[in-house]
Order: sequence, then structure tokens, then C-alpha cells
Amino acid sequence: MRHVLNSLLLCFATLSILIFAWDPNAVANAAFDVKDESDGHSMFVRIEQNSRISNRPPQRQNSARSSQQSSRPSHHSTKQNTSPSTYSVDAGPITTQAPTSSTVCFRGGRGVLTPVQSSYLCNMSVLDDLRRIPETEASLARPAAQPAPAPEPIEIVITASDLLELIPTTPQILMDRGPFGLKNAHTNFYASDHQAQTVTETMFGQQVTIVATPVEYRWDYGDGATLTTTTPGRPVDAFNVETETSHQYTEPGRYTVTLTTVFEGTYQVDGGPTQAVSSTVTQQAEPVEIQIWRAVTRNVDQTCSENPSAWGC
Amino acid sequence: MKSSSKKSAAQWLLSGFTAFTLTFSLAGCSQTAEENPELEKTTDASLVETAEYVPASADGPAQNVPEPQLPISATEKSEAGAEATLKYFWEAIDYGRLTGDTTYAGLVSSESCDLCSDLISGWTRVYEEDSWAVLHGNMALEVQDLDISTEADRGETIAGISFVMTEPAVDFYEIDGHLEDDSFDTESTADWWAELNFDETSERWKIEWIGVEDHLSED
Repeated sequence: MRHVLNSLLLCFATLSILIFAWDPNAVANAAFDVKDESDGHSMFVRIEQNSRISNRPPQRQNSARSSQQSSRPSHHSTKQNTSPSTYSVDAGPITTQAPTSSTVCFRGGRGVLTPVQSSYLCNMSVLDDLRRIPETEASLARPAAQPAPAPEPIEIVITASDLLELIPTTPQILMDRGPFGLKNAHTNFYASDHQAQTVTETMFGQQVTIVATPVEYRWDYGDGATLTTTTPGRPVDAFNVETETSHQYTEPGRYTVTLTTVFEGTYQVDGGPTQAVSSTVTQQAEPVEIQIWRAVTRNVDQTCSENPSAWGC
Repeated sequence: MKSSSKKSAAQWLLSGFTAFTLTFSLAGCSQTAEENPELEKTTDASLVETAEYVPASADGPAQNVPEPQLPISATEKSEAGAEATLKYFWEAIDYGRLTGDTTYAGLVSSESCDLCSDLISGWTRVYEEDSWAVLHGNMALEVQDLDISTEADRGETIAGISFVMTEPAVDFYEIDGHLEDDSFDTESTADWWAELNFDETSERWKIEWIGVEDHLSED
């Protein structure tokens, strides 16, 4: 029953578009807002004539959304400009303004489309329909000698929150010699997974290559000492070797070490120019707890333990 | 320890060293001669049988000192293995102090262990120069804490051991029987730290660093 209803509604939607296709004025002013909620993520696009499509983070609509929920780019492979449509898609904000007489909107969930006289969000599948249907109908409305204008490329923008979610791994705290050490010795920590990480995603039929590069490491050694480095540190074979990221604890005890890694992001769309993500993002490593011991002499009598180079030592 | 007490000290050394050897040679045995008189009695009987052991004194170095034995447990990649290795190391160092032979200590020492190298080369040199040492007692070692960590990426297993060690007073003699001024008159106690690495090839723990905090600046 629902399927039948869906089909009817889709037909109704198609019919509405056909009407617009026959009316050049209406076509020129057509605008659609589309929402894609498939795979649990939301994406909004606005459809207008001769405009473009881009991914727009929904948090602009709803600031209460968490970054992880809000901004993952759609992984849909939409049909990219399969037709020289007079329609294209813009990244304008989701409209809440009163509809104009020339606006066609749809609302409804997946597979249920209802044209309404207002700007409502529609299922993403409408986008495909809108981009396919005008190819045929618009050609009927135009003289054959007029070629359809070339479609403009889809613009994809990767935000900082996109970058945060796409980073495959988080650098973790590593130690050479276990979670224990000696007071006043150089206890060495370093970060794992410190190489630039590359992720390739298909968005709107375009291949987007995103590179997340760790550029800063912020260490908190748990005893009040902190350190910011651009190097992840390195392992060392021997005990008590000072490194760029090692630390000397001055009191015995148990400490919790934390690491925050700062990433910069860049991305390319279909091998195009490299673009920078607008801001850096940070990721937290799992904290590490370390036990620091003391090793001191208890009397002033000279022994080999105090002076191993003494006679007999 | 002054020379007037050398004779009694040597006798004490005999029983003390025997108890020490037995304590660290028997795997899993934590009893001392003082705690178990029967153990001491048995040890004395074995010495009587061999009768070759001659403790060090002002007259000369010790002779026929029982060799340290690396217990089987020391080859285990476990906390018990690391602790047994540490105790064996000091047993072997005491053997070197009495004989100048530090080969046994070298078996469980890494090249990176500076104090190990100092002790191994130092005691060898003492006896090469015809000097010797008299130990007035035996070394006592008590483990305070022991942790093992395995770094999967590097395939390494590291043990960190915090322990308290009491070293006996030591008299050093030169070839003419002259008592060196550098002798250590009293026993000393210190908090020590050791780090051991399990050598997968030889299936044995090796000491990578051992000492007190004063030694850190020398690395």
C-alpha cells in the first residue's frame, strides 16, 4: 500500500516538474531544497537554475548537533551531471522563508514526496529525478538549435568537522620501557601513527582525497609539566636517554600522561587543486599511567653504589 | 672493619657467604640460614665435605669459592624470571669480588649497562693487580616493586625492578697485605633501580641499567 502511495506521490512530483519545464519563467526561478538523511547523516542542498551544488554542514541549521553527527560528507554517489540540465544545485542555506510563487518544494521521507507550497526538505532521490527529467522535458520546450548550457562543476567543501571524523587513526602514547621509570631519569614518550593520513571518499560522484597531517603534539606529563612539539618523538634503545619528548620526573609517584595531536587538513577533488581545510582539529590519545620510583643512597658512607669508579668497583 | 676483627669477620663471612649462596642458588627458596637452622647445618656439611673453600682474609683472597648458579627460573619471560636474574647478577658480582672472575655477571649484563661494566672490569682489575677483598657479611636484596611491559611493535619485554640492597663492609688488601684506605668500613643500604630486557635469542634476561640516581648523570 505504501509503495503504491509512494509511486503516486512520485508521479505527482514528476508532473509538477513537467509543468515547470513547459513554463520557462517558472524554470528560471525554480529552487529546491533537498535533504539527504540516508546512512544516518544529513545533508542539505538547494536546487536552483544555473547554480551549483555543494555540501553544507547541517550544523549551520542546527547548532546543537554534535560535530560527529552533523558533518560527515554524504557518501552517496549521485549521478553527476548525467544530463545537461537547466537545473543545478546550490549550497545556499536551507530556506525557511515563505515560498515564492515560483518555488517548487517537496517534503516527505524516503520515497514519499509531496509537493507543497513552501520550502520543505525533500528526499535526496528527488535530486536525481530533477536532474534527469528536465533533460527530456526541457529539450521539448526549447528549440533544438539551442544547446543546453554546460553544467557547472559540483563544489565540495571539506570542513574541519569533516576532517575530524575522517582521520583514520589517532596517535597514541608509546614508551620504550614500559609504564614505569626512575625519578630524575629521562623517561621517554613518543607518539605513534605520526604520518600524514590519506582518505579517499566518493562524494557526488567525485573522488575527494583528504590528507590529515599531524602538525603539533601537546604533551601533559601529569606532574604539572607540559610540552608542545612539532615532532612526534622517537624510540630509543637505552635507558635514560634524553629525547625531544622525554621527561624527567622529580618526585616518585603515579602520573597520568596525556597527548593531544593537532591536525591540519587538505583535500583535492578529482585531482584538482589542493585546498586547505579552514581550521585545524585535535585528537586525544588514550592516557597512559606511569609509576615513577626512587633510587637513592641512605647513608653517607662511600660504597660502590655511590661511586662505582672507586677502587674495587 | 678494622684489622683487629679480621679473623672473626672472616669466619662470619664463611657462614654468611654460604647462606647467601644457598639463598640465591635455590630457585624459589626465600629462606635464609638465620630463619632455618637446618638449612645452615646442611650447608655446613657440604662445605666440610669439599673442605676446599678458604675465605678471604688479611692473609690472602678466598679460594674455591662456590660458583653462582643461574636458576632455571631466570630464563622465564616472567616477573619471577626477572627477579631471579637480578639476584643472580649480584650473586655473580659477589663471586667476582671474591675471585676476580666476573664472567658469570657478564652472562646477564647488557653492554649498555654502565655500572655492570664498571663492576665487571673493576673487580677483574683488582685481582689482576694481586689485590683482593674481604667481605664482612653478605649482600641482602629485597625487591620493592617489579613491573613487566611488553612492547608489541618492537617485540621487546622490559622489566623494571625497584629494590633495596644492603652491601656489606669491604676491606681491600694489596699484595703485601696492606689495607687500602678505600675500604668500606660499614655496610650500606640504598634504594636501587634496575631495568632488564628479555633477550629472545638467548632466552635470558639481561640487565640494561642498574644503579641509584647518582649514576644517572654518568650515563
